[in-house]
Amino acid sequence: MLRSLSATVLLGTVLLAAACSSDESSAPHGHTPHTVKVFDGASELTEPVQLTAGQTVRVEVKFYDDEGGELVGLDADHVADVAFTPAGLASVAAVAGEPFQFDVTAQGTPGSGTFTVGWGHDDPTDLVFGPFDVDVGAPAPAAVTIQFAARVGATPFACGQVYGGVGSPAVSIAPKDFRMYVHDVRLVHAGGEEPLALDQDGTWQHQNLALLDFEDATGACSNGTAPTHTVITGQAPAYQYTGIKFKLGVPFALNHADVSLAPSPLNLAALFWSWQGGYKFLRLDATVDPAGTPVAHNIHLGSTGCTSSGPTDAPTTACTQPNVVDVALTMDPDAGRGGGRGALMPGNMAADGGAPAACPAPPIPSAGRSLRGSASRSAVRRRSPRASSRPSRHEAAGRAPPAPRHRLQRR
Amino acid sequence: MTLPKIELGRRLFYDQRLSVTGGFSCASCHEQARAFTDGRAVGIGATGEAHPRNSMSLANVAYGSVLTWANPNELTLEHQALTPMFGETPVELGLAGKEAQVFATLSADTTYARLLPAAFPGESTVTLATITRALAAFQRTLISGRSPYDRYRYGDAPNAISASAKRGEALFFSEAQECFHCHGTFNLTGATTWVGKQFVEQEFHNTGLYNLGGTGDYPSPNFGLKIFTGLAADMGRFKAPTLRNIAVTAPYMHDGSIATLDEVLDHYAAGGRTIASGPNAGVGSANPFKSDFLQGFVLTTQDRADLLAFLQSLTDSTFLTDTALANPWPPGSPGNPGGTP
Repeated sequence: MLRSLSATVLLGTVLLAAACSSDESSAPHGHTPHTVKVFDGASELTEPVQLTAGQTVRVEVKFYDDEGGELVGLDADHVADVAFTPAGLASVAAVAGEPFQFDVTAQGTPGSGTFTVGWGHDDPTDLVFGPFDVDVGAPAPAAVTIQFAARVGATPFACGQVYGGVGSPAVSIAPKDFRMYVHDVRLVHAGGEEPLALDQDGTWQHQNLALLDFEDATGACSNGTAPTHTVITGQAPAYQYTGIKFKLGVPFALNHADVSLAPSPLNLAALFWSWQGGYKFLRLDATVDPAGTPVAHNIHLGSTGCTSSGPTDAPTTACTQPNVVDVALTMDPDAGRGGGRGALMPGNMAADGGAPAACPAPPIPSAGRSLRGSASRSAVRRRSPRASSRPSRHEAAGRAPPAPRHRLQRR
Repeated sequence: MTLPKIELGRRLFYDQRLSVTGGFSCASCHEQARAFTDGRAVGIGATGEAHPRNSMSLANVAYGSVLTWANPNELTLEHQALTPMFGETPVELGLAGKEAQVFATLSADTTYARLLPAAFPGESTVTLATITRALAAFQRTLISGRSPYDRYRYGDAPNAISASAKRGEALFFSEAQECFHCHGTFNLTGATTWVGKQFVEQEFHNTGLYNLGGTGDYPSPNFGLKIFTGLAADMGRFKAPTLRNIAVTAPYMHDGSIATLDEVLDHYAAGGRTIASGPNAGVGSANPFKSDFLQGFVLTTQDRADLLAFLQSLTDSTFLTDTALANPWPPGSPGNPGGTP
């Protein structure tokens, strides 16, 4: 309120009036400020002043005499400033050519503190107004859509396609399936990260989990499902986001239920092993050398080391290798879409699965921490001819070429 | 689904007048005691013509996302009923061209005159629409879920199955045997749907049963999904049938070409069947269109006995003898002139 702003500066006004009368006896009558008001455009700010985390607002300070008249024409030989306590609560930048205007950028996280307005002839310390209370609040929630795209190298992923030059040694592959569960999606901003509250659509998203489905049941993917799902939608505070984090997989609490009673998208038979094993977090099936000597190369990633009294009994304690993969990707907030990429690196696609292959050079540049680093720590269930296909197998490297590309945009 | 509609459907399912000869019914190839199969390698229709394929069990057919061996397009039982009724190649019930006569005969029957208005208010005659809807309603009551395995797994009877069957269950759901990849879900087939599911999951698999000439071919006309898609890679791809009551539904496979469960295990252990000579000779395990899951495995004598014990624990004797699913027509009655029990 104007009243409270004015009241808090009375002491400063008195002090300043004394200083001014002694230093500037020839100064124009009434130029000494008695009160100050702060405006955001045409709107006067009131205490506690509300700022939004991470956002910038241009404010103008105006000074008034003891009769409430606005003091004008001060620009030539007077200066002002705005200072926050704690200092990190907001940054203040001068506006060129406008000595009484400032761009105030609140810190990245909610908080509170005070600010003062300084005024002077050559130095904005002759008179200090304030402190005034200020609160930095979180931005209002906004709809968020995260777009995913799957690629093999630089080529968009599609069922029915054959991709050459994959892995080392280079082979051709024909995809048969590509689906994955992700959960715990968080958006990263300068001051921290915010959980994305997923839209509960009854089909693709349940609680904080979503199914990404890149296969469309065409071509060799014909045992799949026709609909695809390449976006995650939800609500999050409208920060300026610079990255995204999520977990690849199904959380333990959802991973060992009865698939016939589980909500969609956790009721797909093709993505479920058993109560004990839970879900296939990532299913990426391909045929290597489809036109020559076809070899199956199927990656089914899920928890291993899950113990219970039988395969159709749910474990009550965590699996020894949950194999939930943390993914973190960066993106360009100004472009509205990120270049974040996670790469599962193809190794020797033609290998028979008998010996884990060394991790070759990545074919796809990755931003931030990516699947590249995590995949090597994960147990991957591969299914290839002659492979033992035991669920406890550990592979040295994931070998899936398509890389999800992530784009963040506010809608 | 109403009780009158179900009862009307049961009458029709067993009614021998629903055939070109007047002596054949749906139940002729779908006997309750055999979990609604017929014990033959392939079905034999009303006129004696052999069907190319084995009569499938109707247990839990309500949950099927695929209703027949390979047709991905028949998605409802109402639609599917048209094939056995009116199909001409092969002839099953043989009703093509006989519709008006059969509908008139059934409409004049006092039982149907009583059941029809209750099942379909406002309807006074038996029509194709009422027949197919009533048949579908009855088939949706063919629920098998009270086997010893069900009492063990879903009930409260931890000793309903033997220790051997429990070991067999573990093998069945293991990554070594891979059985459950195609025979998953409560219905022990991946081609299953249920309430709440937002997606249609249809699966078809080539199990390496044949490999004619080394090119992956199956004996004509049983080309599987390829018949419907025209895609070469769909040769020999069939639905994985439910394994419920599997011990009473011999012989096995889409063409009834394996007589016993023991031999079925041989087929899967070998990763495909080898036929040494004759017109169907070929190394099935090398079929280029074979499912990735058919990698073969080694079974000890004990493993084999355990797997068989598990499969036998899936026999639901309640289902096989439930009088609510049995033939309602007494021998000699209008719907059962031949005196079928």
